[in-house]
Amino acid sequence: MKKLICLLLCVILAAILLTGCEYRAESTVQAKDDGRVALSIYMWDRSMFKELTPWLEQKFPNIDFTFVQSYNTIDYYTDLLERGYDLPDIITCRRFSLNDAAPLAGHLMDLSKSEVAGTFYSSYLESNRETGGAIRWLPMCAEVDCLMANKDLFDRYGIALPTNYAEFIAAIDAFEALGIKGFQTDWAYDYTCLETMQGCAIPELMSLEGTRWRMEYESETQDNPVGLDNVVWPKVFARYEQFLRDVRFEPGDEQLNFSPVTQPYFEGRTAMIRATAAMAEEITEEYGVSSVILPYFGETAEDNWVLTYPICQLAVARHVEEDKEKSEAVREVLLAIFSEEGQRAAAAGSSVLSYNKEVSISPAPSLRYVQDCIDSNHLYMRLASTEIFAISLDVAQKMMKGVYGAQGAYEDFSAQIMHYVNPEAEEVVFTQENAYSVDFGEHGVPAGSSLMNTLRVFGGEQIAIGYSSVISSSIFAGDYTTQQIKWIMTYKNNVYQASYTGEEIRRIMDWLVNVKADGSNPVMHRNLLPITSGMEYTVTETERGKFALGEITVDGQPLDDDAVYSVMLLGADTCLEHPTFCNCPMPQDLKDKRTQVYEVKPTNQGGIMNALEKTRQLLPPTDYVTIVHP
Amino acid sequence: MKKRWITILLALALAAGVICTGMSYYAGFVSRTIYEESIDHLVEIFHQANQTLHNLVTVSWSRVRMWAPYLEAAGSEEDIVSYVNQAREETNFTDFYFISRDGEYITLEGKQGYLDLREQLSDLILEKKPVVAQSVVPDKPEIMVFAAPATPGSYRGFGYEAIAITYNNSDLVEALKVSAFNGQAGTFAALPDGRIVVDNGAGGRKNIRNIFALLERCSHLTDEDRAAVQADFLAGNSGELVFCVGSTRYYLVYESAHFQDWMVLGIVPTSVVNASMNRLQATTLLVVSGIAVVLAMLVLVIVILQNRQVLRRKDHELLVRDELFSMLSVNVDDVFLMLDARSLRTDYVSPNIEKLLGIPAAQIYENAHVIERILPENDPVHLFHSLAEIRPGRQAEWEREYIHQVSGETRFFHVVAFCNVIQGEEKYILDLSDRTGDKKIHQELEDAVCAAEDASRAKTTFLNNISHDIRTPMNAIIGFTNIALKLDPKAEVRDYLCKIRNSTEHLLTLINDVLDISRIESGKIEFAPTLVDLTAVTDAVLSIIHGFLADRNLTLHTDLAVPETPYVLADSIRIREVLVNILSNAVKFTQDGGSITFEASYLPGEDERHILVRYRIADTGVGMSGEFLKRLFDEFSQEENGARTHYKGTGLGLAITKRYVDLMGGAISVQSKKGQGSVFTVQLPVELTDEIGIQEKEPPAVGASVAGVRLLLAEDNDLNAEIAMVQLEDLGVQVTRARDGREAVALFAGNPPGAFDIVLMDIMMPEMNGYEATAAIRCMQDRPDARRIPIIAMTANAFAEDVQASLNAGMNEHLSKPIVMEEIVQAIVRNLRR
Repeated sequence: MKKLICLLLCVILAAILLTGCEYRAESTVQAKDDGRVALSIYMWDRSMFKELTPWLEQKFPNIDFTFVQSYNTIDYYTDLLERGYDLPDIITCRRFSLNDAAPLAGHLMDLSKSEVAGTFYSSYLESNRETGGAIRWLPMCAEVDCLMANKDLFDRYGIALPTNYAEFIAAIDAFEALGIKGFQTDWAYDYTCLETMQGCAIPELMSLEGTRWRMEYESETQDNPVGLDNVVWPKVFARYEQFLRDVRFEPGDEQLNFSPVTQPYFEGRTAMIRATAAMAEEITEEYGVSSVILPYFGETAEDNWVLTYPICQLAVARHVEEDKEKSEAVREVLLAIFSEEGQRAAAAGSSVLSYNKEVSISPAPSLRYVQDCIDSNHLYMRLASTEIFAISLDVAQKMMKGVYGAQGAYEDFSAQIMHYVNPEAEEVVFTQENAYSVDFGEHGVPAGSSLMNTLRVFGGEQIAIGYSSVISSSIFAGDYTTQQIKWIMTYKNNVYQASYTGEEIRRIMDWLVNVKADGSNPVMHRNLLPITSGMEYTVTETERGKFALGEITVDGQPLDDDAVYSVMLLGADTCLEHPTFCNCPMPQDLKDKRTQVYEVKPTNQGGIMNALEKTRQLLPPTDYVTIVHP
Repeated sequence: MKKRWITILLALALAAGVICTGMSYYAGFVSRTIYEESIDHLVEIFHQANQTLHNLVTVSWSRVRMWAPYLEAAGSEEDIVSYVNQAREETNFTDFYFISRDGEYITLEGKQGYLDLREQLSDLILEKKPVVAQSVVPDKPEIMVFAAPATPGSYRGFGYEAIAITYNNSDLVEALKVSAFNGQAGTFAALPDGRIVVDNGAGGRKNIRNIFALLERCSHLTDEDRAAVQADFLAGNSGELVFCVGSTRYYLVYESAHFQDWMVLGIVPTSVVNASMNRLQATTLLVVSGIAVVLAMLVLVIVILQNRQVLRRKDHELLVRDELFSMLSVNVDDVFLMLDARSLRTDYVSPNIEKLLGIPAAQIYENAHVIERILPENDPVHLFHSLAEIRPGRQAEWEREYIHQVSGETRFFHVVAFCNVIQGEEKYILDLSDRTGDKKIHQELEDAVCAAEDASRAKTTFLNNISHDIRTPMNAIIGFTNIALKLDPKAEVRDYLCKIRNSTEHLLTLINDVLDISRIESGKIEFAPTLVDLTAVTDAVLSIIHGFLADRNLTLHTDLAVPETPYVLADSIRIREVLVNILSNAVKFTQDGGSITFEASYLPGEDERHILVRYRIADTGVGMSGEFLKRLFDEFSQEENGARTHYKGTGLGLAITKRYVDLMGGAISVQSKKGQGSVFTVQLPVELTDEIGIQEKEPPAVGASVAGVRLLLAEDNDLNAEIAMVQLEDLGVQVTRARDGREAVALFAGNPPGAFDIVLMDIMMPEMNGYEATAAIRCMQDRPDARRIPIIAMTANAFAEDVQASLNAGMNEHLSKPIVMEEIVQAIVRNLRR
């Protein structure tokens, strides 16, 4: 009898448990969220680390993120695949075209049926739709990249802000008459050449013929390349030739890079430069120079256009689909990134326009003079394939140098676009024997350490300190072309040299590691801990992404505060010192000591290029950091 | 009890199972019906919404196409504005656009911009095709553009080649509005990849971004379900399904919008659609559940009542049983005792112990071993020691004597002890049954049986003695009569002697029959089958009958079939007696000139090992009346027809015959008619045998001489000895008489081997009887002839068992008195030949 009662109770218990299981099934996703999921996200630019990565880590405490600063082109990821590596879970790039993205298509998820794709305005996503219907890349909010005017200067001299091309030229003339450069820009960069070339002829490019050609070009295949249109593009080069003339381009200007252009602008010696709305906001706020964005002017105000492009495009690796937990995590992360809050974090306070229905970002004050363009949908999306960038630079530079005029430019551009070959991707510069991972290991990032060791040995300094993550990919065993060498080191790094005492080095490390009194955090993620060579240090992670500097040793011995060491400093000022990034200015006395070592034109990876010419190998890594757990 | 509970529980479980199955089936049926009905209802409703949208599209197209020629012919821009504004009021479109070749537009109000129609601009301008497109300006709602080519013209100086009206996608919501379901119905327009372009969501389902992404999160759907919906979207097929978000279930119905590859979706919580049906279902389930509960309660009540009734009956039974047991335990002659097996503590003792053993029950409760102290002094067996050997479930029994503690008498008890486990404890249950009365009755019965056996033995002895004692003088009478006849007496004396002989023979027959019937009735006659040659039996019978016919004028017909196997197991002596008896009757009751028929035939038996021997004896004699036939086989029955005066008989012959036939398992029947004769049929079952060991019948000792034979005659009766000696010596036999067995043994031993050829040995003799004397002779080790000398019993002991006793004693043959000299001679010759 007892057995029977027990049996009945067991049956009832089992039924209750089974019922419970059914209810659990309803909350499967929640249950999975309880476990930790690892996600790797490659951010195209350091700016993404400012707000987006900390925000994501805070929002998803159950996800172990690995953020790596990668590169702005799709080629970077193609190279990963060609070297036999898997794509990271989420990738981003700045320079995007469907043509360039085609080799990655098989390795990326189709997001067209995803929830996040539903947050976009359909017409914006259509430009990213493949012929097969798949949508693998999602554009993040739009950056406005046009002409920037020092409104203070205009006001000071009573010159009205131009509203059309004629007024634009008139304004230049007026400033030139005052001894002020009317318009100048950093012609040395490929994007400047590309944007000014397209920007001055947007009405042509947006004409019926122009849009038809563009659609044809964007859907070209390797077997069926599309050359330049013979109706639209001659006009474009004619416009560009005129534009260069009208902005009073002078020989030698083609070598101008960022600082030689911005500095006079800050000082009121240049009235207008090419810049993004984000920069306009930044300059206004930080330098006190009231800057506003002006459009690329047409003959009438109705012909003015604003040049835009997504601050980046985002894709998800296909292998994520195989892991349901990861897939669910990615779904939530994408929804977060493309939410209003996420996009604000991604833009890091910059002035952007959203492509998403549910995101309402009011145009920044700097955009008030292009509001008409925005309202009338005169938003031109730059044509930004890798080859267009490269050829635009080459052709524009030749036009600037007077090698040829509009017709010659058209012909040369046409010829190059049909047979474009990246010379930097052709020649093997050296063959690396050992591979080193970009993943943070027990004592730092092996690939980063290898890079720093190589640079220090080349420079002959006792100590080398990388301000933050200076490595943008694993170091692979195998051949390296010039292009691939450039991908090793993160973008926008300057190399400095100075002699510092041990005490000063300790302050440098304090500046690079410790959270500042105002909360500014120079690290944010362990991947961004400074990479040292010839010197080791320990840190304690006090909170997630916040570190406190511990001991510093040189060759195993405590750093001698009184000793003097020759030091190589590697890093972009904008990353740590700039208020919009970390707001961690380097102590001025330390800053005063350093001298820039390498010329950074036309690219800023000169250091590694020069080092490799000497070492022919990226040297083995060393243990440079130890995270002490409290 | 346990079984009953299990049965009840199983029955309840079965009933619950049946109810649950029924409810489940009902619920399933209702759910299916509700689903089908609801889906049909939803499809109809959302089809109407879709139709409204379709009408809007159709009307928009019509107007855009219609306006193009009007604009061409319009007199002024004011007319155009007036005309378009009027149309806007009618159709509620958002804006009216004049579109330039490059996609630029100007609104009626003069607002300009770029309308991104992508590849459709080319269709519109170059191909002159009307197009529908979606477009957007950042931070503005998406718009749906219905554009149609127009004759190039100018509006406010803006050169156009096409016109368009636009709707904000959000305005299309109105077209998809569904008033049913209390505002809980959400209507959407989606692209083939599931992205929602028009969101008229309601309730908890607003802001759906992609329907497939939503379905992806529904764990109840399979990948195949989702793939089927996606395929439907791509193909523009309509369909429906139920999906879940969290704990809420929704109906999804979809169908093609028939433009722009749009699909129109309807999403409504199932609870809203099924509200009334659910109420009906819930009410039904409630009612059914109520009925089920009431039924269950009813069943429960019935079960409880039945249980109570059963319990009452059980209680009553227990009461009666208890009362009965109390009565019995007081009044019966059994003492019941229950002891704990471990401690031998008394759990119960019936109160009658005081009456039966003279011990108060209280003493037993105090100490059960008291019962061991009332044993007789010489009884060494202690009951409690034996109890320890009884295992649970087993029992043991003893006969015990106890001294009654009050009367002091010895009483006999039959003790039965059981060992049983009661509620986990081993108990000994003892039943001390007082058998003192039984013992007395049993003793009396045993005495009666002994007396009866003694009486039986006395009767047998009497019969044997009377037989012996009658035969002995009869032997003398017959013997001396025969001797006298041989002395050639006068005719008158011969006649007297003959009458004496006939009378003695009749007397002898009468005595034999009386003794036979007495022995049969006392069970002394036993059927003793031996190996028999059936043909030899009939031959022997015929041989006897021929003797009867010697002085009669009767015709004997025989029809004797030849059996396939003559050797059977049967009692040849009884068969012969049966047949001789019937045939002798036929001879007796058939007048001269008549005939007698004797037939023997063989029929199949009950199995292969048996046959049925049938003898038929018919005569043409006096026959019998029907009345007499009824008691033909009764003892001493003779028909009162004066025949007794003619035919001598005891009236026992057929009674004996019938007894013999019955003994042999056979049957006898008779047909007779007065004055015409009788037919007797005897059927006897006999067992076939494969043995063929019957010795060939010795030829009769015709003319054999016994002269010179040296014969030792042991006979205590002088007369019999004289008769035998006179007749044997007349035949030349040298007779040496011994007066008893002892003397016979002495004479045999005292003479050299071979001094005697044969011994005739009486049985009942003083000093040493014939059996003992034979045994003594046979046992003589120093006499080589002791074992082979023929010893023939010659005794008044004439019964079959006497014959067997003689053979058992080592004798070679048995001859009954009165002696017949021919038989003696033949026996002597027969035995000396061997």
